[in-house]
Amino acid sequence: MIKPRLEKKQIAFFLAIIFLILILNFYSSQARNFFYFLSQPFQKIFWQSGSKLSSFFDFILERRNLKRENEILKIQNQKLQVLAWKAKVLEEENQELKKALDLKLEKDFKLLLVKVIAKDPNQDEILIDRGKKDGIKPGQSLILAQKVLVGKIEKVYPNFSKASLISKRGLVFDAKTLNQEIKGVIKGQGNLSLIFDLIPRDKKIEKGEILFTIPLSKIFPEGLLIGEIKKVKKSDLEPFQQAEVLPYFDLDQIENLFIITDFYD
Amino acid sequence: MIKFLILLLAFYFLAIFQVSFFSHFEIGGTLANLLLILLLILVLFEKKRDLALTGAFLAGLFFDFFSETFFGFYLLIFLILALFLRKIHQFFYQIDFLNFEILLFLAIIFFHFLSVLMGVIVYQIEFFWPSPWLISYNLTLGGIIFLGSKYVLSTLKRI
Repeated sequence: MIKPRLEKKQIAFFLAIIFLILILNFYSSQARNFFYFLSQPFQKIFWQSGSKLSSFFDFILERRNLKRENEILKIQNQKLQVLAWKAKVLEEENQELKKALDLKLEKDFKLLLVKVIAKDPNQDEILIDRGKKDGIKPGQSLILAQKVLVGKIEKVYPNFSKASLISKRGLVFDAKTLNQEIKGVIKGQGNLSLIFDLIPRDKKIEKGEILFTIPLSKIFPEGLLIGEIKKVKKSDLEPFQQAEVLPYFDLDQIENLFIITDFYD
Repeated sequence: MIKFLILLLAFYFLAIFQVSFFSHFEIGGTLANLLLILLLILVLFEKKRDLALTGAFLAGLFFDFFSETFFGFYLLIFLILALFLRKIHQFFYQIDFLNFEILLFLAIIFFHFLSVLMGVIVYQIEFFWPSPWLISYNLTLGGIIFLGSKYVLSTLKRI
């Protein structure tokens, strides 16, 4: 007598689940927005605590290397000073040229400050605390204050947005090296790793070379920092060279990001 | 009902903890899957099938909320995983640390292949193998959580 009742109960339970899933899919944008809205206070607390704890561990682990890093930083600083001087000279030249040509090219990025509140556990995507109501649109670029490229907006909800990190599997865009201007393609490999692919075989690429975005594929604005070459892979069988890239953003330390709001406008 | 509410709150906060707190502790670019570890512990320690399936339902639902897949994607994966784990753990005479690690290893592999295969079918993503970092990170963390929960349970029994 009891068994059929239980079966009916189970069928009703499964039907309720199917109905719930259908409803959630039908109103997925609103459902997710509402869920993020409810969870936001906890997520912000957890994100900040995680960031602080991770920084603390990093400090302990990195302490031994501090002296060596300090030496490297000193050398890098000297190089940057030379670059800054070169940039200053170029900027002055550029200003003069603009004046001379009377072009109205002076249009900096329009930026919007956002906070990261979560990362997708299964792929390289992050959740940020601004959405459609703040003027965010899919395709807009996410950067750090130092013009380091982090990702692009994928999905926009009323109050929140989902963004793909540049390391997301399947994300491809053009880039070039700073010194030799070797062009290639950056491919996201997932798990926060990147490769610089389709580098012509005749080009000599070196470890530590800095990579910038180029506007060829129109995914990201020009001149954003991506990372540096970590390891070059060259094979006689492959028509192109490949290199592992160390991204310049560190997800553990990211709390505030900027969205370039006027790139696609 | 009380057990359901406890499960609901546990999985909800664990999901938030995973995406917001544990995101800072990636190793080799991989993250720990706390919901999967909790589900395995639930399957092993809870004899009632319904409660284990409810746990799988909640884990999948919260995973779906934080992913960009359609609703039901991870829910289905977690439900299949729970059924798989319930079936397979019957072959283990007792659940000690080594057996737990074997089951967790199987769960990680099963979860990875299910999610990737579904991704290949539904979203046309490229197939990829699980990273060794992902496996070792989850096995280490899962082992610690297992030993911790065993200690807590034995202490509670003594009290």
